[in-house]
Amino acid sequence: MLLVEPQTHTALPSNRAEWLDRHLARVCILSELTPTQFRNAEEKYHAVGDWLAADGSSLAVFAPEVYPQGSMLLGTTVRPYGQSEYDLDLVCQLHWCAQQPPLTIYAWVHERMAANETYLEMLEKLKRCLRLNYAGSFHLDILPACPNDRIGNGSIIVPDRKLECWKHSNPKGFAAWFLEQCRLRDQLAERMLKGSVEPLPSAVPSQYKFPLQRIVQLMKRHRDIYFSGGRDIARSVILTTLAGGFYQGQRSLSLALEGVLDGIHYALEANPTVPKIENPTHPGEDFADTWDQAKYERFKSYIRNFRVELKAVLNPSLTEQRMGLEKSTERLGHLFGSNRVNEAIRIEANELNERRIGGKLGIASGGVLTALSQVGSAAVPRNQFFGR
Amino acid sequence: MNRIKTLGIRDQAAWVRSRYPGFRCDVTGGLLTCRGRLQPGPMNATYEVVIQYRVGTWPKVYVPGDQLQPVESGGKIPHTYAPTEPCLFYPSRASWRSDMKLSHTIIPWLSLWLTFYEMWRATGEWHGGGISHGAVKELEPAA
Repeated sequence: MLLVEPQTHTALPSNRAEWLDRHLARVCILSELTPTQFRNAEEKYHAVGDWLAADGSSLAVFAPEVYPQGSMLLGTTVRPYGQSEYDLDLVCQLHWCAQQPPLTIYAWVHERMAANETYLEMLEKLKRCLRLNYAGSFHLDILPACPNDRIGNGSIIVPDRKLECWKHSNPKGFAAWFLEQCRLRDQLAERMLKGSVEPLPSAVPSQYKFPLQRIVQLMKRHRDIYFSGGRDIARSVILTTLAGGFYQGQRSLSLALEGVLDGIHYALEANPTVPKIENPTHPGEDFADTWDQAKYERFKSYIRNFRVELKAVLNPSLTEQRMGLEKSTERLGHLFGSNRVNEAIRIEANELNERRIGGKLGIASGGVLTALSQVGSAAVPRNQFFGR
Repeated sequence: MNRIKTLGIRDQAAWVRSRYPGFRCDVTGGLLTCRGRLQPGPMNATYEVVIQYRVGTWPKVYVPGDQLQPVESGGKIPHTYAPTEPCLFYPSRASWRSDMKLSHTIIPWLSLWLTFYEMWRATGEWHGGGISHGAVKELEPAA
């Protein structure tokens, strides 16, 4: 497994970007699958794979293979706004099946799933995939697929939206591209730990995530709030493609996010009409082919708004600086939801209290609280605030 | 019990000046008044603060003017004696004694208090812990 050094902070943040890096990471951790949920989801999809491939399965002859795609594969899951269940996407890839019409493959997979009593109770037929509802936790959307032997390299064909014909897809190829962007120009060689098994960033505990994975999570989170469930909501694959394309390899999450938003903003402003957003692993496929001018304008304003709010937190006006944490928290609340932001502040407070109780809190000459290890700081003894 | 070695008012002033070169300290008739600015962290505002201390009394801190604001007008700011006066410690000999340096206790505690004050303003919750007034009787200061 590919790992990035965990982020342990011996020092307290000494500038706004450092504070924001930690705050944003907390917002992401609060929005993603916990390690337990992740392992649980993994077990569930392995079980689905085993069931489809088991002896006596009508599908066994097609050597079915179940694997994650989308955010679960990319390590960019975010709980949908205002919901408690995660959407997790799986591919159920059969073999030697590309000659069959999509409807037939879909029916075969459904038939086998429905033959399991447990699955039957939570199985739901969606337009082109089958959904298993694990109430209160997540649902697994299983998309039937066949290999695309013409292209190879992990390419598959999946039913189109109406289940009438096959269309190209390559979730593994896209994930490989994304992971490469994650590691981009980051001198990650020195940050990587040994023991590579499979480059699946999603299986990595959240404190090990790459800045680019966090950026995509934050963009999705703000998107969910900005579009508030509207029909013109921007697809995650577009956010992921743009973020991956404009990421410059910064290690600071907040500065990397600022850079990505700058990049996207200027690219969009240079395009008055709907641009193509090409699939980086399948040239010719345009992720924005369903956009009209109105949708495009809405997307532009989402990016503009995100960028303005983030910059105001990073580099506030004098007036806003005088308003302290309150103003930044208000802006971050607009971006990611005030519940999540307040929860992140609570975690920050807990960490500060741990330092306080552990005698690890210091103070520098300007009155700035620091880690005791910092040169020139004096230890802050324990105290208890008094009063109503 | 060991007797504590009370720090003189001029020693207290010297410690504050040496740790916080930006602070101005005056001693008038045995009353030490230190004025300075504190910014607890990069996200926080900078506050004008005043510390007053006379040997034999509890140190007092003020954040003068309207720098501190309740969330609702007329509301209460947690852990304050008055809207300009944070309570930094439970007044007992176990919390603060006259052999302690203001520079190493009161000023950092004020920085901490301001940090939690801003978190409270931002989220509506006080995360700094502490003891409520009225739960215990105020004690005489350690002389």
